[in-house]
Amino acid sequence: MNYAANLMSIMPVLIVLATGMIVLLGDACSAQWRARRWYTWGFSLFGVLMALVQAGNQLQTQMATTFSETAFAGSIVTDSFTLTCYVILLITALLAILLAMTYLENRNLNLGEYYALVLFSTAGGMLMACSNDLIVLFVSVEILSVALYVLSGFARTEEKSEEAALKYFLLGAFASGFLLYGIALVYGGSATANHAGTTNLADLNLYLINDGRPSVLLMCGIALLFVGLAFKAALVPFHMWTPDVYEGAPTSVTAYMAAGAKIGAFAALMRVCSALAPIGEYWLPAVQTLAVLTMFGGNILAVVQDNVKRMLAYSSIAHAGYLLVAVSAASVRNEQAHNAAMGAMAFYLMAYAVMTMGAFGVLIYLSRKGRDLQTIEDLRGLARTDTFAAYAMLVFMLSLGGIPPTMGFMGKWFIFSATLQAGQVWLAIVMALASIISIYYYLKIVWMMCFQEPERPEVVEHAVASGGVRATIVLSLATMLVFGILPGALGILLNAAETTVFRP
Amino acid sequence: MPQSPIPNILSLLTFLPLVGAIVLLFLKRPQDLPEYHGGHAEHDAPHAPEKHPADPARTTVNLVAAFFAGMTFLLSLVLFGAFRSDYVESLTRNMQFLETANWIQVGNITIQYQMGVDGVSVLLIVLTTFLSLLCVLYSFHTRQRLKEFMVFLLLLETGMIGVFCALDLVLFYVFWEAMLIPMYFLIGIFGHERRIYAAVKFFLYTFAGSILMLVAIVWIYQVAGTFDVLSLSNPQTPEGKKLAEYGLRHPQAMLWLFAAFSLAFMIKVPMFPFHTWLPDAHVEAPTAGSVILAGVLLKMGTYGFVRFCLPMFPKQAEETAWIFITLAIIGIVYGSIVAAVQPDAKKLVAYSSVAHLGFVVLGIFSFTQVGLMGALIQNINHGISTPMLFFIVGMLYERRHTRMISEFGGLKLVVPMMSTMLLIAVLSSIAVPFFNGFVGEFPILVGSWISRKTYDIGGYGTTALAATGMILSAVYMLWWFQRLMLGPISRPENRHLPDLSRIEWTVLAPLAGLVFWIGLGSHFWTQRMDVAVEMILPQHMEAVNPDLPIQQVLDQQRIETLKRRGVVPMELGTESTRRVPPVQAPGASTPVVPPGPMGGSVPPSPPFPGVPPPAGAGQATPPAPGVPGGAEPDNGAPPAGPPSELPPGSFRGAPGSGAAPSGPDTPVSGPSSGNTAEENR
Repeated sequence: MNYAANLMSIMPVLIVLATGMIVLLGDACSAQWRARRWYTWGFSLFGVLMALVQAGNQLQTQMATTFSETAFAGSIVTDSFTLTCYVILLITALLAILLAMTYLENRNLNLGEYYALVLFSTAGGMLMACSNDLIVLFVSVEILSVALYVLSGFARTEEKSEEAALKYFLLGAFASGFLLYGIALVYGGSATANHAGTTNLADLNLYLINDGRPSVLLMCGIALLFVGLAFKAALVPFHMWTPDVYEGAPTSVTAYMAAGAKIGAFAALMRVCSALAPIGEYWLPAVQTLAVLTMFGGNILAVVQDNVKRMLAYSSIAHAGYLLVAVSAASVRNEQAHNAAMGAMAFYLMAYAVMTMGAFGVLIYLSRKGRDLQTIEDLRGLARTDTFAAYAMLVFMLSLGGIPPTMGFMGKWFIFSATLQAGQVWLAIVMALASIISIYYYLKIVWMMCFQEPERPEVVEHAVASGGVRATIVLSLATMLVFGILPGALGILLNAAETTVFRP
Repeated sequence: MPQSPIPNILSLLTFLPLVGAIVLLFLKRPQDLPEYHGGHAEHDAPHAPEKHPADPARTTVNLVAAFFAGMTFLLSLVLFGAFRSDYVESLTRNMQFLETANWIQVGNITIQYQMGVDGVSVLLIVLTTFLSLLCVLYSFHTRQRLKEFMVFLLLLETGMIGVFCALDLVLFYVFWEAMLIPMYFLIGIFGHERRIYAAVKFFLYTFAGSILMLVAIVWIYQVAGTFDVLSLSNPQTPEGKKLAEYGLRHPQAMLWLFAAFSLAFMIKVPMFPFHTWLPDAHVEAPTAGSVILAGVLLKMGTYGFVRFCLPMFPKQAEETAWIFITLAIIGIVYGSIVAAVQPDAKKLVAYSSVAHLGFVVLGIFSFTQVGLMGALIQNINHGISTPMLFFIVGMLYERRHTRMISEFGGLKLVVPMMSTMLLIAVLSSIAVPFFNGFVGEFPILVGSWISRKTYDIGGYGTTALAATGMILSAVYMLWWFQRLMLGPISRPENRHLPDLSRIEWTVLAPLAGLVFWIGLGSHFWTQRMDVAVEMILPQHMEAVNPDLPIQQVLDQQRIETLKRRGVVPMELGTESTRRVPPVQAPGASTPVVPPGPMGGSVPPSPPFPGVPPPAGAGQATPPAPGVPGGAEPDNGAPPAGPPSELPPGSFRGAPGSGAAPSGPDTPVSGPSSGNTAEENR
């Protein structure tokens, strides 16, 4: 494969990266550009849209040929799962950029590097989805994370934001250490008498298929690998940073972080798990334990939160648990179940990303000049003061809770379906039980908004909500309802796994 | 299939209220009226809105809501008129107006948009649209957030009709869950003091029950490869066969599936240990909410049993019937006793619902056609009498802003019309003859009396215990009525209460009319469900106590009926004799045929299963397989004994039910259930 073809296969990533560079340079070099923030904003949007079009095109070709190709000497794979993840990530980035403009202005944070950082971390997430080599995986994790460390401390003058950034950075660096050490051990553990070890996932997969019993070294490596990825995906018990960071970071960053980082992390997790599927019986119990802990931990802790952002943080942990159920279903040696689970995960990631962005979008819409909306109490009586925001929030809450006719319900439904296909009935039941708990706190927000009377209805003043925020909310709302009723229209997501390179 | 006068009538019916809700969203929001803050009761009655300046936006919202609710009601009447109660087809059974389309098709999963109604659901749909219309009318004077109220009412109506129409498990589940949201809002926004607690409790209970049902639904798909309720509940179809065979191979798993479905329905009904959400929700909900809750939502639980649990899991339902019967009877007695001591008028009605629904469940799980028919009629009855009670309690509340029984007394002198209406509702609820309640509860008790299921629990004492529920209901209802309406006027505030307003008349009069219509002309209603009952609980599934002296009489009646219809030759039954003892349950008469030729294999047409010996016949004769004279099997169904479908005793007269193919029901579950019937004898 020649060099150009290599580059072509990661074209969407390149477009995003290039846009990020241009935005960064333009903002740094041109005073004219700096004076008109609209340029930055518009250009970032444009870049993401271009990448989205490119990814969509590639996805269509991919679907037609059902052919997966590797590039850069097998370290990058472009199959339909990759491209699906691209699309989901790009949509997330699009919404994140749409959300940011007025919000940043209101908080006096409207700096050009914000957009550049969002674009870089998106590129990192996309690379995670296409990495076929643990080293590439590590590098892309770092691209994603470093941009996010900076973003979470973006409100430089605020202590909470600083604290969040530092916490995130320290813990994240620690987790990166685990990840890297794990990769090293995997490399050592997969060595045989005839050839050296490998970090390439496809080779690893082959090695495991041919040489059924893994060494202790390899198992340790896998364990550490999981710890590192679990930290990025915020799985219990590696979730400690999540609530603090989500709370401290500016809301638009939180929104992006909740969706984008999770998509990247789960794409990577799925890649690793697919490659390791031949020895599933060794590590699957661990993943299932993590899933149960995450679902219950996230949901139970969310119940007691007063702060909306913290509550949504815990809810995002719980959703990571649901996604982990899909990962577990994808890791059985049953091609049909594997494909169904990959598809279910892609669908749920899409649903999760859009509904989370929507929910945070409403919070941004409601944030007042210079101050974020903090507690659930702040939402009291919203239905009387701002009906649109209240009922939009209602739809997002229902979707997060998995109640029809919303996309969240359909996502959950597909995960149930995949889990039962994989024969893990108990996991589906546990997931069902966990989601009963979650209903309580989503309803808490609903009743605060809709059932309570506002305390002082006259003094509610909202920041001037921009068209961008409104557009985000409306787009997410439409997505939730349309694909909640007609999920078949997103069938392309559900077929995402048809051409994956690994045999479970 | 009978053609409906309007194409896609079910979809139209389901989504018309939704359209109404969307239209309402675009209307101008009416001004809120001030909330009641004490003051003289007279000025606060719902029929005195004149003191507020007329608000055109208010009128528009009311009219639009009433228009859509009214159109839906009319449409449901068209459906009711076009519904053919005698229609039967081998695969779709009594289902009519089927609409099928591919809804979701992803990967290897196909979910269909499938709707249809049979005799059970068509009545519930009419009840739903009727009560919704009344609720819209009654709620014209909602003081605050009128527009939202109407939107939620209409959304709720869509969900409820959808639940009764859906014939695809996923579609059903979507409606079942989606319907929770508007109800949650109706309780939460418009309820009384503890509304949030009640709303959340309501939501969580129902959701907890149904999410496990979702897992079961997906599981069933893994087993049978379809969500189609019709094929799943018919073991003749490949899918239904797969499910039934799965049940034979994995009885334990099948029991869990059944349990998941049952739990959802038990919570919804609600049956005894799961009933605690009901009093809270009822008491805190606004009047219209309580009416819908009692009138329709509770029926979804019993409807679920009838539509899903019995046909899809016949064996499991039969095995566990004793649990349901026990819980139902506990519910009846417990609900009645607790209702008697309530100081709160609304709570009393709420607990009476627990008791009445206990009767319905008892009827369903008595596994007799009489009992089932009684249960279905009682379902409708309860949807008429209890809404009436709730409306009147709501009217009293609007006049006095209290629900405490002790605050009233002697109202008959002040509001004679309202008190008459209340008396009608009370008598209907007690099940006095000529009132509709009797038509429901009496067959239930008969069914329970002749049922082997109840007999096995505690002999006839079981039914006797259930029957005390009728006495207890008289105790608490009459006492309640006495404390509210009779005696001297104990409070001076009550001296000047206004009697029924025009709107209130409009709401109550049709309900009162229905009370008498069903009470006096029950045949009009039961005949609509005859065939459906036979389809849901075919004869071979019936569990009639064989030791019953009344059995001979019933058998004789059956023979007479069959002869009259020409289904059975006139000479049969008198001439032929049988080997088996004369006292023979009609339900158990299928396996009477020597097991040899029958084997366990797929049915060589059970010959004349339904023809029991004449009363007093000393000996019996094996009904020769070749005896001619059965109804000509149509639809290419295997030759079968159509009469076997007839309910024993009272409820006869489905015209044309002779054409009912009963054969299809035998193949898989037949032999097994037949055998159990024999063993138990």
